[in-house]
Amino acid sequence: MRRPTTIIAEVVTRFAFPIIFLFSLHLLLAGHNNPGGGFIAGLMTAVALVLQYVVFGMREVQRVTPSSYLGLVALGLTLALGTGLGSLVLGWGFLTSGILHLQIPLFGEVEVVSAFVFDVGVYFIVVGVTLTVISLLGRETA
Amino acid sequence: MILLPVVLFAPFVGAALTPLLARYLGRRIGWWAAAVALGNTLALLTLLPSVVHGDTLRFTIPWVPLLNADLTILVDGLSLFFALLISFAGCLIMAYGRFYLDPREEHGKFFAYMLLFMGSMLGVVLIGNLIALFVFWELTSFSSFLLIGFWDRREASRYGATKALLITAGGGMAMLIGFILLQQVTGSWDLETILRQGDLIRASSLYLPILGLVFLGCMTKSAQTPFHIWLPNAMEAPTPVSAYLHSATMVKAGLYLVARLHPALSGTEAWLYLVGGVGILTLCVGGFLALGQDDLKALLAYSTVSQLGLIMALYGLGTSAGVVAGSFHLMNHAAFKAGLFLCVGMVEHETGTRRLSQLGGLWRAMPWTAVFTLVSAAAMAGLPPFGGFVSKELFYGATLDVNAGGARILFPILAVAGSALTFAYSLRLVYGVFFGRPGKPPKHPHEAPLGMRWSPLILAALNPLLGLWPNSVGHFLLGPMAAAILRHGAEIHLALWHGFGWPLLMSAMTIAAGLFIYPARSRIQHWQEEVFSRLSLDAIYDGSLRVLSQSGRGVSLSLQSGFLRRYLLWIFSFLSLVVFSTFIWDRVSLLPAEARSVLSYEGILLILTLVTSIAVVLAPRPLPAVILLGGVGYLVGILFIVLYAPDLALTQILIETVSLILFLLVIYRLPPFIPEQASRGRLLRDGLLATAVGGAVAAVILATAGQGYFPSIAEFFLRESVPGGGGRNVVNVILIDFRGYDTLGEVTVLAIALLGVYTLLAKKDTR
Amino acid sequence: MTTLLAVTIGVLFGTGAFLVLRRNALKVIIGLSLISHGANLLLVTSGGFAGNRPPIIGPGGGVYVDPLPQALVLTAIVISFGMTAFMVTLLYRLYRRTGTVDMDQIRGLKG
Repeated sequence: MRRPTTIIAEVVTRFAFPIIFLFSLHLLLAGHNNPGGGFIAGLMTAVALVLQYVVFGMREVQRVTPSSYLGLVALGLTLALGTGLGSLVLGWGFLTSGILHLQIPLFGEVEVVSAFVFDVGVYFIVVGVTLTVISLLGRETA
Repeated sequence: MILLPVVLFAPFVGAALTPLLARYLGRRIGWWAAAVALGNTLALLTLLPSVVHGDTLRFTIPWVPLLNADLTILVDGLSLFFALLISFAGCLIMAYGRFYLDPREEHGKFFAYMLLFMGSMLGVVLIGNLIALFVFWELTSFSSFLLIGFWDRREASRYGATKALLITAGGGMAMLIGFILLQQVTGSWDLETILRQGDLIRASSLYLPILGLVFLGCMTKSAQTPFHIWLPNAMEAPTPVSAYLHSATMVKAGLYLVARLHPALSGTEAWLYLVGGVGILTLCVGGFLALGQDDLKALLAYSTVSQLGLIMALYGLGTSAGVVAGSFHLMNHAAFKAGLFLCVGMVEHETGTRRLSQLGGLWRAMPWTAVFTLVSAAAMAGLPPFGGFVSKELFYGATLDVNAGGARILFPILAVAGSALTFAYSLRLVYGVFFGRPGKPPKHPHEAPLGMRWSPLILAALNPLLGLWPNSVGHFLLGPMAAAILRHGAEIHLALWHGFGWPLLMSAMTIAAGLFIYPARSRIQHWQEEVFSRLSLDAIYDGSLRVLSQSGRGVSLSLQSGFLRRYLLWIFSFLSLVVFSTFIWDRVSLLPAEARSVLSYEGILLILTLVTSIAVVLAPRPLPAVILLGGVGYLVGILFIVLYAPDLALTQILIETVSLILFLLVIYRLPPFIPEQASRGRLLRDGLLATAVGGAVAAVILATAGQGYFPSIAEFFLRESVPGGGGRNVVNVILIDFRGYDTLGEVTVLAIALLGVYTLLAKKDTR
Repeated sequence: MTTLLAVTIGVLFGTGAFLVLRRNALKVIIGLSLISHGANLLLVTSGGFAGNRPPIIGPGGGVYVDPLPQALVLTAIVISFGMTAFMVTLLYRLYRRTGTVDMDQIRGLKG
């Protein structure tokens, strides 16, 4: 059900959404060294989408996100568990983190931490859980 | 010795496979179980030569290295004898059970339980570690529970199973405490290490508690007075179970442990009076009760109690002669009592009853059964030329050796009295069933099928073998066993004919006294029924169980009313009480250790939070309540910034946004707050309690803030974050690296909460 | 500072405790949220007030605050969101089905 909203809200949301979304990606990438991380980035992404939902209704949100949020949760859990099992297969303990230093042109030295994949998993789970709950409740109470 | 774990775990594997195989084998599954037991017996026999030679075989599996607990499998003379007994008796009895069980019954289940029990029992005797021994010990109680309650539709079976479990497991608890004390004294869970430190244990101030507690476990398991009351009720089990668990093996676990700990605990007066005294008392009590029974299995149950008491008494003497006699009688008892149970099973199977009052003169109809019973009962009564006679002579000889005060006279007298009772009830068993006036059984009696007769035949045949050639047993089994108990080689010369002397005279007195008691059996039965209808140990057991379950129910009902409020009242009151009483008791200072002045914006924030949360309570409608709650959440988020927690602040503020939207989605669909229906008194009570809870929390914070009771592990995380975790945001590194396991659990919880929401909402409610 | 903070956390616990003792299920949920706010603050401050900079390693002086309670609380916040979501949904469904949010009445209902 589409609720009447003000034109100001619609315009602001259209502009704000990509900014918030990009910021959430920044939070995810920078989370290892600065405030942020999978939990926070996931919530930020979810909030951006919830804002869309509040202003434009469910259809708009579904236009920009994968159709199944439960699938996102499954993907996230697989990623998180996969990193753990990956290190197990390589002979270290479950969830042991590895650090890789790469020299990439233009970027200079980039540090890749295997735990980052785990964090991405957390990110997907948080996004999936939040959106599923909101969309289900929204559909139910509409 | 890879054979050792194979022997130990084969029955468990066999038990696990049994239900599967039962689908294909049907009623023939009993052969499978017997085959597993036979395989075990043969495998154990291959170990015999080296054990006779005097070796001790070990196999160690690392188990819980942190507790210093290894799963050591230990085979010496004592454990090998018991393991052989368990496997061999298991083989015979399971082969018999295949014919005993009705074709319509669940054979797969029965034999799976039997093999499970066999494995547990092998574990008890083969394991050389106290913790593992306890685990197997309890496992025997557990599988015995399943077997006694096999006919679970019968009230009496369930009662018997529960009683056995409660009493033996209760004793097991005491035993566990005893084991822990033993470990405290010796510093080891390893049996061999403990057995080497006998002097240290006996000198320790904990010696008496250890002896008492461990022996309590042995008493309950081996049905020693006054804990014998579970054994007659356990006779509700199918007869093969009674023969196997309640005569040949499980009830001997207590004896095994007494024998096993003999080097560590025996040799004191306490040992003599406790173990010996309880044993000889049990011998007489059991014999007296057996004489008054009408039910054949009850008679055998009390007879088992009595015989176990005899062996316990012999071990209790603490002498070399006692150990040899006890161990030899243990072998005899396994042979004749298991045989007698199987014979009674055949009688019951063919006549439909096991009441003495309905039986008589069966020797014509069941000649084979009559012969087996006669031989086994004669061995039990201690008549030549059977093994029972030899062990009784040894028993008398050993009691005459006792060298301590009153026990010197009392033991021989009680020994003769108990044996006379044994003679009398053995006579009653044989005469009452097979001779005399023919009874009126429900079924027309005829001989049992051939397949059923094999096992009792083998068991009965052991009795003259043990009597006529006792020294071969002495060489292969008894010698190594006694040596393992005594920790030194024992002189063994067994003979059917010991020459004239006190033991022979006492034997004659036994028979005379037995013949004198026998005619009084009906009067004794009558008297027992009269007395026990008014006062018995069973009544005490039932009464205390009733009181326990009633008071338990009372407590549950008052605590677990199903009203959330009631639970919370208890929790809150208890919390406040504990905190405040501790504070008053210990006079804890509530002045914070470090006084940091409040910055103005911090103060404003805190006061705002405080005021808003009170406003939540006072909100008149759901909408303002939820919005104010959101306000509290945002304020907490800002407080996190003040407390140097940027990640938390971000998370809190984002979560609060989502939660608020969540609340707003449903709030319009919910009814308004109805004015508080609670009485003024209840409001006051809740208010006071809430204040108390808040006060308690505040007091704890004031008392602990900045005290540094524990060294913080923060140092580690701060130091290792960059080199170990590759990140400068320590909170994030902890979350996804150091404590990644926890986080994995937490996101899983989140996903499960989502599944809950999903199932609640996936289908639109039609109502 | 400590005293005022302790009082604030105490009030959060107290008001929460009062609300969870109500019969209205929504109030119970709100009360639980208040208690979890209080508990989170309690955990964060349990590290004491020893530090004066956030636990993000970098140049410069100062003492880092204890990062461990923060990590614990971060997950606690997210989990309590999961709990709130579930309870709100449950409450909503219960109300749709039974027509009441009164805990005492709901307890008496069956099926």
